[in-house]
Amino acid sequence: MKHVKQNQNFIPLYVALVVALLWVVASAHIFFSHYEMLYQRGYLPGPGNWRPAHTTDPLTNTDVEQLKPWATFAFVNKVYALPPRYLENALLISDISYPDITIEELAKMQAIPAPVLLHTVQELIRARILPPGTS
Amino acid sequence: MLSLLGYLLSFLLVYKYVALFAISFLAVLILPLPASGILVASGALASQGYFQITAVLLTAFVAKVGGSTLGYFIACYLGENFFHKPGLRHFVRSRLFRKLKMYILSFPRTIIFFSRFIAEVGPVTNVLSGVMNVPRRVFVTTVLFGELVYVLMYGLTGYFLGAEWENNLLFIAKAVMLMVSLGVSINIIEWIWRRKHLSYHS
Repeated sequence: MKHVKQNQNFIPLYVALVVALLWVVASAHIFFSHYEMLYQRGYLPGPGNWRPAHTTDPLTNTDVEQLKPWATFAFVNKVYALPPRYLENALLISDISYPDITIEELAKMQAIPAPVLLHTVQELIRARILPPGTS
Repeated sequence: MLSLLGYLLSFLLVYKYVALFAISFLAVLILPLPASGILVASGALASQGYFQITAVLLTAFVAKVGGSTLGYFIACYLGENFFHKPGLRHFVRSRLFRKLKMYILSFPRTIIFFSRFIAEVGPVTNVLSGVMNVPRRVFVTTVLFGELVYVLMYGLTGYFLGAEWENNLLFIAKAVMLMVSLGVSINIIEWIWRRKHLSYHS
């Protein structure tokens, strides 16, 4: 009788364990589905491919769309391998904090909408760097 | 207006490793900052050649371990007085606090390890571990292991995703969900094992 009572005390814990294990299975399925999708697109490592899809070479024309307003000009110059004075001269930037100033901050200073300045910067980068595969 | 993450990303781009250290350290010590997002972004920036990936991982690891242990030792030093000043004296005397104390002291390793992956729970766990006198050795070794897994998981995810990291924040949320579900399951198994062990000996 005592043994039966002791076993009954474990029932809520066993139920909780089953629920938690179902949660693990569901989470693992959701996670690994996303992982597989990223693996097939070449972003994440897996069997036969343990190297990242990207290199640390400068970004190209096709990557310009990924530029965000929080990016600083120092970052833009570095990752797109631009001459340090190129954007400064093209955008007539006189602020002494250049290149450690973000696109959004500059837009505020110049009283223009951030998306407009971002688009201008993207066009300037496209004009400076050649598309991949061209020489 | 810049979002908090956007603002912190600009801060990261300007002050680099110092910013990464400060954000990671403060996030695990007390401030609710999106340190995981910043670590993923740092990994992505390393993939673009702006940072060195080993330096990113090392900086974040040192900051996270430093912040966690500082929180723990401050709480250890203040003991239950830690809760008196902010007006939580009643909480310390409550039954809930006693239950929480027994729970943390029963399963310190699982709780400390898995709390690394849940924002805001990590700093609270550090403080509670200190207040409740979780043995130093247990705390430090678990934090070292937990933060190592955390930093590698987030930093390398950003590094492999590269410029795609912002489009895949949901992937990181899914990884966190998997870690939390694993933590809960392991904790329940420990609980059952402990109860069986106690009932067998009694």
